[in-house]
Amino acid sequence: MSLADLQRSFCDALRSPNAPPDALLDELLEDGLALQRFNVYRNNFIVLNGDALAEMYPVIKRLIGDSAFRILATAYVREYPPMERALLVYGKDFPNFLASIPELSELHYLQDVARLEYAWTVAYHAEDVDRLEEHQITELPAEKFELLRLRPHPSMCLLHSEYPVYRIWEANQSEDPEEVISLDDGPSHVVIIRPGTRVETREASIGAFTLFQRLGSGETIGDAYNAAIQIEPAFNLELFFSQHLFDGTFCSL
Amino acid sequence: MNKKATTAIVAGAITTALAMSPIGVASAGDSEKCFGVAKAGKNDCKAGPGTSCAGTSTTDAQGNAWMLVLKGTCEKIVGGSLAEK
Repeated sequence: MSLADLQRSFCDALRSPNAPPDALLDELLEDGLALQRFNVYRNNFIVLNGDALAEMYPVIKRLIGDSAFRILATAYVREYPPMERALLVYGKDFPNFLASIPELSELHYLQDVARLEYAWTVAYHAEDVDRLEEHQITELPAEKFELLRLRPHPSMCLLHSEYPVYRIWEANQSEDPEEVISLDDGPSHVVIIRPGTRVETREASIGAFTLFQRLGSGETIGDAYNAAIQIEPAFNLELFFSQHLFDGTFCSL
Repeated sequence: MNKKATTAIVAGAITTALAMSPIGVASAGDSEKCFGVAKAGKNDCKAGPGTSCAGTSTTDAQGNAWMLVLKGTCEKIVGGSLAEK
């Protein structure tokens, strides 16, 4: 067997629940324990990658319970094995995978909660940037402010869901979530961002959400603001900027 | 909204933000980030416990039966609820 064939056969067998083919076992150290050794290796591959997935998705694990999560994690690792050496952001396809499981088809909100959890960890590992500083603005004439293009922090992820996923996520951050949440309390607009060293998960108004979307796609403040008040006439730009213009939400000009 | 009003609202909002911004106070951006610090228990070498047979002894991952036992906190979320009641 060529090296490429051996590697392919080994990888296929790792992802399969069935006994490895004899042709593969024949290539392994022949001491009568090849099958047991392979099974130990495969089990660790499945379990430890599943553990990494559980750390990426602690809220999903709480929502569906440990045993259901383990079953799903095993199936996920087989279908989507890690493609990178680091497991820091392993599990990108898990939200879509959850949506494909018939047994979970009535728990529509799960995939959006999973998207929030994934965005949280990706934000945690996002690059650092210098924040927008006051002096960069004071140098400009006020009537030009509307022409500014602000760049949101690269860690920012905007998540829209038909369900109250922010409240579901928030309630599951404490040890004993007592809160009962109605799915009718949606929709939810969530901003995940890491302006300094801590990831922030914020529930945003639809106006603020729209403003972020438009600024993120490169529009001027004036255009983005007009889009925001069209969708939320009461959107208060003064309040929004007082909170977020200089708190690290936006990058240095 | 007409052009002049937008100009005035944006200018006013940013002027207010500038006035309210604390000068010389350390912001979140001033704290140091240590390189190589991973989320708790989440470094990229998952081989720690796996170098022994920890996984083997605690979990039988060979089972592939689709028996989803939903025993989490989903029942605290009403409206969608569990498939079976």
